[in-house]
Amino acid sequence: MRGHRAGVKTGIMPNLLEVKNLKKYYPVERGVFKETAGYVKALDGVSFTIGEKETLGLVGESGCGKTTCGRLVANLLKPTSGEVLFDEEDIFDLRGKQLKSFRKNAQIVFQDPYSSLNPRQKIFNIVAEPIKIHGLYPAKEIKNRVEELLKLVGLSPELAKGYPHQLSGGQRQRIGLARALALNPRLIVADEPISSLDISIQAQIINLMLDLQDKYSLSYLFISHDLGIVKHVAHRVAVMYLGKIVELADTDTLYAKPLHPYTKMLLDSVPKIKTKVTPPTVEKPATETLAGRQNEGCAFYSRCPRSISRCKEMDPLLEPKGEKHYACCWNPE
Amino acid sequence: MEKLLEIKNLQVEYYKHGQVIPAVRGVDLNIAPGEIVGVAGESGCGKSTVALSLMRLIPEKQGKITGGKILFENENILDMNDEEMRQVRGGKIGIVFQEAFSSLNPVFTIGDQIKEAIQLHNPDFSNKKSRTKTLEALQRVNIPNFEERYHAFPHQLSGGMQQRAMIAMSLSCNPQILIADEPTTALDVTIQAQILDLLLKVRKEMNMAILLITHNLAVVSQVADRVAIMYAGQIVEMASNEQLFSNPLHPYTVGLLNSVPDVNTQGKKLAQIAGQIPEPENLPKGCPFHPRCPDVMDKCKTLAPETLEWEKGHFVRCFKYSV
Repeated sequence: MRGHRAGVKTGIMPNLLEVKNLKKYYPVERGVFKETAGYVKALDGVSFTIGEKETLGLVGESGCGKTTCGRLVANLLKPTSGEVLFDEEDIFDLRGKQLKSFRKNAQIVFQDPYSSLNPRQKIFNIVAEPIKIHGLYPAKEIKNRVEELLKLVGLSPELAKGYPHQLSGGQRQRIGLARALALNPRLIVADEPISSLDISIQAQIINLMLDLQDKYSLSYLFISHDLGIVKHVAHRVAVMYLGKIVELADTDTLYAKPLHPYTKMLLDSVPKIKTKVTPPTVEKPATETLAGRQNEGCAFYSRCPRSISRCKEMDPLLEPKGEKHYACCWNPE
Repeated sequence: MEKLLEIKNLQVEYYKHGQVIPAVRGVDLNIAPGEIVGVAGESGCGKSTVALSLMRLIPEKQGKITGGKILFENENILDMNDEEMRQVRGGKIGIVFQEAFSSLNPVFTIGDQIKEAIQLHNPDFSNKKSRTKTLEALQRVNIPNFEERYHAFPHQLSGGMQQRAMIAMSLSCNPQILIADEPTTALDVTIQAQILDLLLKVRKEMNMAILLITHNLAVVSQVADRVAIMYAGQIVEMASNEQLFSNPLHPYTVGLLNSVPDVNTQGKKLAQIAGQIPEPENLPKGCPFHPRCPDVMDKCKTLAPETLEWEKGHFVRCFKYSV
């Protein structure tokens, strides 16, 4: 848990979001008639919760399904099965007004600030559009609101007159945040919000996101492949591997005492400043991919240094191994 | 110290819409045999341009090397004719780019591509010998089942394997220097660790120098012997790995190191460097870092600081350290 907000206690917080056994399979089509030859299990039974004002970090390597998970939570994709409860209602059952209200409450910030802003729209229109659609402010006040939002994310209101191409990457990502904040959301899905930015700019955006969380009691689903950043921002962390959560725990616990060999491998692989050459931590290359995944046994079996015979035969489940510490492993550390 | 490569006052300009954009503004750098020198900086600081200049790969219409010398074994690369340059490029100096997939030719197998490089640089090699050398190159970079992978097309390999194939190709002619331009940026952390390990291994085996260009300070601190930090087309600080990370001098280096979250920053606000990276066509007067600098002085706004040696082997370009 992050020290500067020790008042926020995980577990005691009411759950804003509850994800239950969420699955998303993409059919693999073959041949002239596009027969379904199999499925890519991008998300294969994922469950977690996010409390009010909480940040859940979702980490994993490319192709593990973390972005799919973010898009499902934001209701931009429909799941194959499973539920996402927001305020105790399944977001995939929502229609009409209720759905609109969910969209107001849950916003998303995308990874690439270059492709997520419409190049033909002025900054003002980009930020004002959601406000207009949801009719949150009378027409006269929209201009003020947009200026307020730009100031909030540390930009000059003058920029509203410009176009996205006139801005730097960091400024664009601030616009992405301003657009997401325009509707006073309660949950923001941040899908790799800083990975395309330079280091000095990354720190600015992270600090901004933390300030905004304090100010507006936001909850974040923070998706990233950067374990250093996630450690800094998240209260709890879920580690994904090939469509499944393999470990879930409070940030401090997870980084101090990782149970799953994959989490350990990930943590060992992160280069750290001022430590000279680490011994090779990864002996076995990745052979499994989502597409070629076998159904039986643990998905991590082929890369795992701690595998036992059982791992090959049965897929482990995400089970409690300590206080608020879940891991999906037959032979944890 | 023996010098294998010496860059002296390198200057490179790009041209866009009739405008002159200075990308590299007087870079001095040298590399000894078997040494790993890391060049770190943010986007647009000119680090990749330095790499391209070493290979004379700056696209002719877009830019030009306007000044300086690049001495390789005491010969100026910039004065070489095309034939001599071909011997150096890919022969004595190898290069690995960030995105292996877009650097490899999608319609040839990786084996054929590596063999082509070997044959171009060794016209007297028989087909069979080139093939053996190719297999050796694939084996050297730890590609599993390398004999089968010889016949694999780039799209059949994972990102990490593609990068290994690229490295195999660059090493196939036994270069004395390998330029690695963000070799691990597009890779996952577990694969990144493997590739860095591989670079260290081949350095040791071949006593090869490596110029490692990256934006990732942690990567640099793990593998480099000496580190140069670039900002706005200049090296602002240059020191041994230990000096730089234990005693950073330049306010920009300090800012960069503080921006990286680590164990000690958890729970605190990240120290951030205010402001934006300046556009190369619109550099501020005086020290290019002065608008973002926490220690700015009056003279920083008008005068550009020169590089000075603060302690042995530790160079910094900042007025704070001039007496």
